[in-house]
Amino acid sequence: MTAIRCEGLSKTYRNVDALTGLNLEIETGSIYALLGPNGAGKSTAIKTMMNILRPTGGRAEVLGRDSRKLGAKDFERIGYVSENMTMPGWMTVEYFMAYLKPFYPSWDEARAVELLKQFDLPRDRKLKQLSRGMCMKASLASSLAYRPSLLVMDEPFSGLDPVVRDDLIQGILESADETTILVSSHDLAEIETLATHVGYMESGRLCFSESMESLAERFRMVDVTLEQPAAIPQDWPAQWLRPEVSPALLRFVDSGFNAERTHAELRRMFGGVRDISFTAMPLRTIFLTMARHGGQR
Amino acid sequence: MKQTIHIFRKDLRFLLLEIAGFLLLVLVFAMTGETDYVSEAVEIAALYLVVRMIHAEAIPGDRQYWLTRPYRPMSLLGAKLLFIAAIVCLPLGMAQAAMAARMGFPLAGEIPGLLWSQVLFFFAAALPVAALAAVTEGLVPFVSAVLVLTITAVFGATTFHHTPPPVEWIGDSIFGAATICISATVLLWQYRDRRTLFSRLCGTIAYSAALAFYLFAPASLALNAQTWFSKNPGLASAVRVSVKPDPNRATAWSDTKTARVPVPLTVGGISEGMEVRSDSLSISFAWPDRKWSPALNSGTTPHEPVNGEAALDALVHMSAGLYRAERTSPLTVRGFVYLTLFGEPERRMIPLKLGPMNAQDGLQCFSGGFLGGDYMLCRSLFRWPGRLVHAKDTVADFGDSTISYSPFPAELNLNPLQIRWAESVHADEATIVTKRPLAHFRCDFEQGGLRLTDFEPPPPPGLGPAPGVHIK
Repeated sequence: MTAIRCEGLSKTYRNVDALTGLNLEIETGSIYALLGPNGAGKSTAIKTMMNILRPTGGRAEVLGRDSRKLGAKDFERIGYVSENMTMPGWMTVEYFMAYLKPFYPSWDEARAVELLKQFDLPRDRKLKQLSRGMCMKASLASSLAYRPSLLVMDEPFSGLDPVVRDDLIQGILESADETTILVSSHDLAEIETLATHVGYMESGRLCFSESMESLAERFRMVDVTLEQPAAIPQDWPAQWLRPEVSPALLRFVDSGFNAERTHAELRRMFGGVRDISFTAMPLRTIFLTMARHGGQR
Repeated sequence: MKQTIHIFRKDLRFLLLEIAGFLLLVLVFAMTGETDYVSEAVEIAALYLVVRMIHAEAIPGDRQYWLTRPYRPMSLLGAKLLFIAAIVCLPLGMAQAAMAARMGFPLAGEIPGLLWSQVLFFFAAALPVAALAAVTEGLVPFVSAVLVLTITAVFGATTFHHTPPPVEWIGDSIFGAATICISATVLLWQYRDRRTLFSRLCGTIAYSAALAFYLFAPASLALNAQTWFSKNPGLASAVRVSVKPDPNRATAWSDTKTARVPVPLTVGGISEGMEVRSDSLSISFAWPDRKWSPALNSGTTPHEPVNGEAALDALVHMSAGLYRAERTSPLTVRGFVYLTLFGEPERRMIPLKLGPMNAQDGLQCFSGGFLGGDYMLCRSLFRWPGRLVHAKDTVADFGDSTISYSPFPAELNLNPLQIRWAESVHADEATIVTKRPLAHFRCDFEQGGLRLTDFEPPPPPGLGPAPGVHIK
């Protein structure tokens, strides 16, 4: 089952391509992290999927419905939390929850009360008087109280202190068993503990999209000690990223790791290889490698 | 409907303070609404309330929390319209009704005006403001847009719009209807599809086209339309217009730059008990070697007909050079005049010194003093009646040239009170006479064998031009 499917989704602002031919599938029940540097097109992609923005090309399907036709009935099953969302600052937390309640047939009042308590939200405080972190919590609480089938979060952790982040992650994880989650972020440490799948965007394009397991398997830091000093050859494989060579030491990131093939290829290129070591990479390092490499696979 | 009420109640809570302030102003308006600045303050407060309420769920932009909540577009729009009707129009209507009762107007007779006034305010004022608010993100862009539109419209209207007052309602109604249609369409588009750029573009183009039509459509369109829909064309069949130079009426006068030539027209064939008024007049002068047409306002017909004939005085301004050059040349005067016949008089005698007394056609009349003089004042609610209004046996004339033939019972004006005054009346009582318009029609005329000298006063025998006539 697919919760979100994008086919060639594009969005152009005047002459700027913010999103170029996005093809993406997010399976139901997964926690999908959409990563990428600032300006990569993550927010545009999400807003287009949510029918906040109109695509200029391609299409997206959200919970089996064309994103351009998402309406009130669909949003009863979708939660959306964004870092730069304009909230009704004049409402108190309690009134905000009470106001939203009649919009959702599946609103669970007990859960709402529990979430307010769990997030330590002051009920009588106006939203405009809350800190950014508390506001995000209020937004998340109001989105989890009706147990949505799909929870979409756009940069929910950026600029938040660790305690608030932890609270948010806790809240997200607690609803993960019944909700498909799409979260865009460049806060990699949190994503690593959260996501089951990950996609990486750069300059409006999706560079890869796969499960965390597969990603961890695919990326390796390779350290090679050569028999004798050598330069980087012309036919350097495209999936070997960021090569660095000092006289006889070679280091690069293999983005399509296969131990046997890497061995064989190194021997073909350099002849004598004294030692090779492969090190698994944390998501942060993979992200940085991709970002610095310019998103090339 | 449930969601509509839910959003409406939220808006009430959101704007509680503003609503309280507005209602307080409305209360002051109900008690002292005769003064223009109070009604203007109420208008601004009402429209501010509409803008704030629309901006509570701003349509343009991609960051509003409500965009991804299960709002049904038509419920949201319904809530906004309900707010305008219940929180803005209803209190205004009640205030106007209270004003009418306080001033002693018979309420039953004012109900059509009262209702129409609310309909007009809702559709022709609040709806366009709501539409403009729906394509702007905040108060500052909204005010900027209002300023641009207002300045354009006011400049255009004062510079290019020259429709005679009696038929202005036709252009106003067409422009108003177009504005309402544009506003309703923009609101529907915005709430249903949120296509702000498209709405702005289409709205601007359509509004500009409507404004251009309003400003530049020739006045003759409205006059012809009024004539076309006239109910009693037969009444006009005997009416004739002719040019009759008459030294006893008005005579030509010239200085070094300008010559003023009074063209005395006579409207004949008017049935007994009827009066005629000119709505618009066009005259052209033709000499053997040239033609010339002056810009004219409508001529005036200030007197009741005598023996079926009424005088229609037109005043033509021409350059002194042209006057001198053609003064003695043979002249043919051609033209046409749009006339309205008034009749079926109603009379009611009222005491003047006891304060405002109800007369016919929704009028209240009384005598009052201001600016050091005594005046007779008549007032009405929602609009001045489309009638000739006289006080019998006095010189009182209540702005006959600015009455409107509009069939609607109210004008777009929050302050419902219309007051006109006439010259000093020293009587204790007066008979108010009103005559209703019976037929609108156009009369063409042509008179040859004239000379400009025919319009000059006759010189005293052997002394050259009469004193006061300076033909240089």
